[in-house]
Amino acid sequence: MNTFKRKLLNWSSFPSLVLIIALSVINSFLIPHFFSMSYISSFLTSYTPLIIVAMAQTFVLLGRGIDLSVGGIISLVNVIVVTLFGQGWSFPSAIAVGILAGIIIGVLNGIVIGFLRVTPLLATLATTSVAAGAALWIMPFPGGSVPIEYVMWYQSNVIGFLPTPLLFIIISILIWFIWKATPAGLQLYSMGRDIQKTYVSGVPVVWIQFYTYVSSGFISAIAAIALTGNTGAGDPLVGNTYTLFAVAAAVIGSVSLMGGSGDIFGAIFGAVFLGLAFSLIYAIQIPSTYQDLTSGVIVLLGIIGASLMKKRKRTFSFKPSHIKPIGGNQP
Amino acid sequence: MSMEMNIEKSAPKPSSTKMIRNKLKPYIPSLSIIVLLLILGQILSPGFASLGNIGTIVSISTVLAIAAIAQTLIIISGNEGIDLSIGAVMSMGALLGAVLSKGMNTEIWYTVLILIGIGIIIGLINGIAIQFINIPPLVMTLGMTSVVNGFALAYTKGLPSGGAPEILVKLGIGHLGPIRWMLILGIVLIIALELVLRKTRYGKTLYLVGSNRMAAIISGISVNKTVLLTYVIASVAGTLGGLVLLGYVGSAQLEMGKDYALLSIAAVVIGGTSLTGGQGTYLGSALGSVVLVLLTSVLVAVGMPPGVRVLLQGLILLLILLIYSREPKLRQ
Amino acid sequence: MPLFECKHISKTYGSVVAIQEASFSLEKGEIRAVLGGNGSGKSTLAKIIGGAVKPDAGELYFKGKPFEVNSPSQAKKLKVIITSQELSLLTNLTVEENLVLPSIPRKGRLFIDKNAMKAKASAILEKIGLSSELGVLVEDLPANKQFMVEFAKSLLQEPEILVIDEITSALFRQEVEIFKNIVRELSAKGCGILFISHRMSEIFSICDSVTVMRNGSVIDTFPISEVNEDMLVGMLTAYKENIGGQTKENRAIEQSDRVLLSVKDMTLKRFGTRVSLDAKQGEVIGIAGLQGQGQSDFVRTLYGLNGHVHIRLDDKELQIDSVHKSVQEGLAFLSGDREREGTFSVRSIAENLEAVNSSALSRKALNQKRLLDSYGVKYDNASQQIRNLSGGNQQKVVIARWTGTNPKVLIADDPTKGIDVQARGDVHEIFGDLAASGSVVIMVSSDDEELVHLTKPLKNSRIMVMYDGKFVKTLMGEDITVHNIISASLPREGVVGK
Repeated sequence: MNTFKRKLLNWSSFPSLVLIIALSVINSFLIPHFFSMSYISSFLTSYTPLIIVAMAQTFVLLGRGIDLSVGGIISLVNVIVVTLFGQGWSFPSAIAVGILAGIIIGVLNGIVIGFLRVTPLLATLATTSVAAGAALWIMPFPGGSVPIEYVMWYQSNVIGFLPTPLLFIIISILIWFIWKATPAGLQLYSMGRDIQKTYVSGVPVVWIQFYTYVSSGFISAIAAIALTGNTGAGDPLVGNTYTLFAVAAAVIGSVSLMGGSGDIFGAIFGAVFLGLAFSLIYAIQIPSTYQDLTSGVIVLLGIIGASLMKKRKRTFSFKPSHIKPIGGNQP
Repeated sequence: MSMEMNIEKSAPKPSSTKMIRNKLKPYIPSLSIIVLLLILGQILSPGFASLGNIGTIVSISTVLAIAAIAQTLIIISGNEGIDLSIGAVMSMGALLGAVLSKGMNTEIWYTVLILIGIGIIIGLINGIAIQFINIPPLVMTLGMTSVVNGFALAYTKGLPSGGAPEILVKLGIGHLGPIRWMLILGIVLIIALELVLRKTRYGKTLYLVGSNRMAAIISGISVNKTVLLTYVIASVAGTLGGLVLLGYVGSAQLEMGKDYALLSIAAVVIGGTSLTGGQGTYLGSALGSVVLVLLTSVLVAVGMPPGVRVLLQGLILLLILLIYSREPKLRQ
Repeated sequence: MPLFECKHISKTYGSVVAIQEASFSLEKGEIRAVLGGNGSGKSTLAKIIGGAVKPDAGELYFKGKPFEVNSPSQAKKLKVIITSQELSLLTNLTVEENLVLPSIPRKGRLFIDKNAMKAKASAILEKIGLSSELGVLVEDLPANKQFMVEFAKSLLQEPEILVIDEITSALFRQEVEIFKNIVRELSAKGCGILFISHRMSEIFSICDSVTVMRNGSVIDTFPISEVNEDMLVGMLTAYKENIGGQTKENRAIEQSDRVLLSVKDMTLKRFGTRVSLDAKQGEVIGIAGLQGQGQSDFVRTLYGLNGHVHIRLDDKELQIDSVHKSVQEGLAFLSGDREREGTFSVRSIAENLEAVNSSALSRKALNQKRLLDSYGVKYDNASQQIRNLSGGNQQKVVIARWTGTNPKVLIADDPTKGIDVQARGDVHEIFGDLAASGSVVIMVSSDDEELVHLTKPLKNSRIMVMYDGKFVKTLMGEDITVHNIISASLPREGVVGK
């Protein structure tokens, strides 16, 4: 029990869990039926795409990369699914093609970053444009629809009580556990901390980088499928805001932008925190024109707060900086 | 004493024509692409290379070149510096410009002052978060984008009013004799920025800070001050650039400048500014802006839909990155 | 047939010779000590064997076959393993994850075999006495345990040749005992061991033989029974002791008793020690010691790089809270790590020269041509990028950057690292001139010979030797010899194991 408590307190995702609990308490006073099953269900319906895309971003961040194309991928997958369905494809095959598109963008990122060694930031900025442009090309204006049965299914419960969106989250978490169970999981953390030392230890770092971007593309596509269940329609710009939210959720959940620390649960908590904050904005009836500003400020404060906390921890924690620099003249 | 030893006469100075050729060399790819695109455009769509169309292209290029001021300075400052918020800041500048000036020339100075003030505040917040809280520039400016967009929406209630004051419209589409004011503005900006970078203490220090931050600290240079100032200049360039955009378009819309974030980065990369910092010229970025605007115009001229244009922009940026900025190999 | 053989290995970095025609061989099961002073080439030799550095010339043979590897991982596949003080551990992973990283045990093809990983790790941890650290993050381990884990990581790779580079320097006494037992065990299994260390007691207690290196050459190899500690120290320092003995010219330094710089009880954070220093006008102070004994920490702390310090300079009490302030008050700092801390490599010579003068101090432009010419910098024109110059010329530009501003105190941290002998002499001359004009020069060097060369010809000079974050000895005048520096630098029996 004691070791469990210690482990919990030292868990990198613990602070974001505390944030969630605190915000839930506040929300429960301001939002009627906050703890009811139906509210939780509708919360998940709205924020599952955000939760999943934050997970996608986490894979990349852990390896000291960044994927700005997640928003573009979401838009692309969304319009592909809706368009193909509109052209008479069966819905499952439309979904399959959509997911394939997400994976293709991920492969493109992985090749350009891993094998061709372009910096992640600029490479994914460029592929964002590729994905978003493709989305806009396929569907210049919002429109179309998906089977109403799918929307109903997504917004209902499975096995009686389990909100369907949870299914999507569980699938994404499963991908995480598969990673963790293979050597790649270990190698991912190791690469995030120090790519050169990891390379010298005989780890195929280029392939690990490739896998992270492919996973990110795949999981972002899953997020898009969930999002399509929520909106029920196509919109070539629907993914735009998700890039920032995904990075912010991960950062709030203590996933380090410097790579090598944090885990997917932190990202989930970070996303839930943002979701709770956004629901609060709606609940207290901030005028609609102020909502974007408020949510932007919350996101930015979340990033700054998380970074400040980490900085403080770095300053005061007992780190082996007492190792004497025998090898050289480090400052 | 060492005075007498080793004073080897330095090699003869290279001739002045060779010097000029060397100085122009980095711009030759951009210049030739510009010529090629003009010819291509003229072939694909007769009238493309007419004076009127070239004037339009130059005007839009000037707007993009203003965004590239921010991007160039920040990328030169090194440390993975980048400004994703420049598009949002320009949009906000245009919106606020329309609302604050109420479309009247008499209010223009007051509007400019307020916009400079807002630019300073945004730049300070970006700079402080990046330099003192160690938030990566990419993340910070991405976050700032949504705040600035949100602010613009909240301030204008989503219904921008006022329109462009006449003086701005004159700057945006007017002529001085046969020459567009925008061309004059562009040339003035190129000269001013090149002077700032080459001749002023700030410019010289910026290159050093971007080239090697640790060496700059050891040399006693106030790195923090230089970086903060750079982010402030960038945001002020953004808000004022918004006014120019307002003048060119004639009215303001939400997020009207958002494409400039990506385009300005591409312009800087085409201009030969190294993304590792410490190197680069503004003239290069300005020419890069012309290249990109020309490219977009050619795509428009041949009837490419907007989506394809964005897609091609992405692919071209990817190509440029593959040519210009690969990281070193892992194996040493 | 020897297990491993090096024949006429040479390696130069630029114009600096790191290893010259080094040859030696290692038998199966042999424990060989490699002993040498700073810069004797022993670490380069270790890196060549481990595949991290490619020799310029010479051949390597392993089990009679040519040993040609292009990367550390290839050497690892052949079971030639290096474990070094530059730890290869990832601090965010647990002890066992680090231990198995080079070859992660798998279940089926795809998955990690967690049980096998734990079993593998616990067995080795038990052996090194760290069973309790299973599951602990490496960043939570103290330095000595990290070094033990680094050692254990190499053991798990089942070495046939094991190169141990200074790994014992941070260990406690009981750990050293465990370490020795394991090394003996390995040797009994037939593994050849190269043990690089300064610690005589360890060398004498486990090694079969000892190879002495000096200035990049192998001097000789002896069975351990044929040598004793004094003989070895003698061999390390069998320099031409006349180096720098000839006072070239009588420098016109005014004998001055005025203390220009004074620090009292300045804390060196990494060591938790306090040090003091008074430097008189015109003095040149060399700071010596084995690597990492606080020399660098001392000069960097003094310059304000490690936070707030209090100094007395030119009869003024000063609170130094930033490097900017140090520079304004007349301190100058020259780093040997030119790439990281000296040059602005993509900028021009002229801009590099003005970095302090115009950017930090806002003074009027220097007379660049005169400065560059007076230091004999060879260049085409001042607008070319500094990275096109040779290392020595680059460093002269960086020095000129400082001397052009007439600093009161010039602090130099191993400033001639990696530059050629000629340029090195020039740098010493510049330092001498600077001191003669009334400044203080404080220079750290990892090369004892160089310190002697710098300080011996000068009247107002001394060498201070550091050990474990403290000044342990001051040498002046005739006492300034390489032999004296080395014997003051070496750990004494009482200090080993803290």
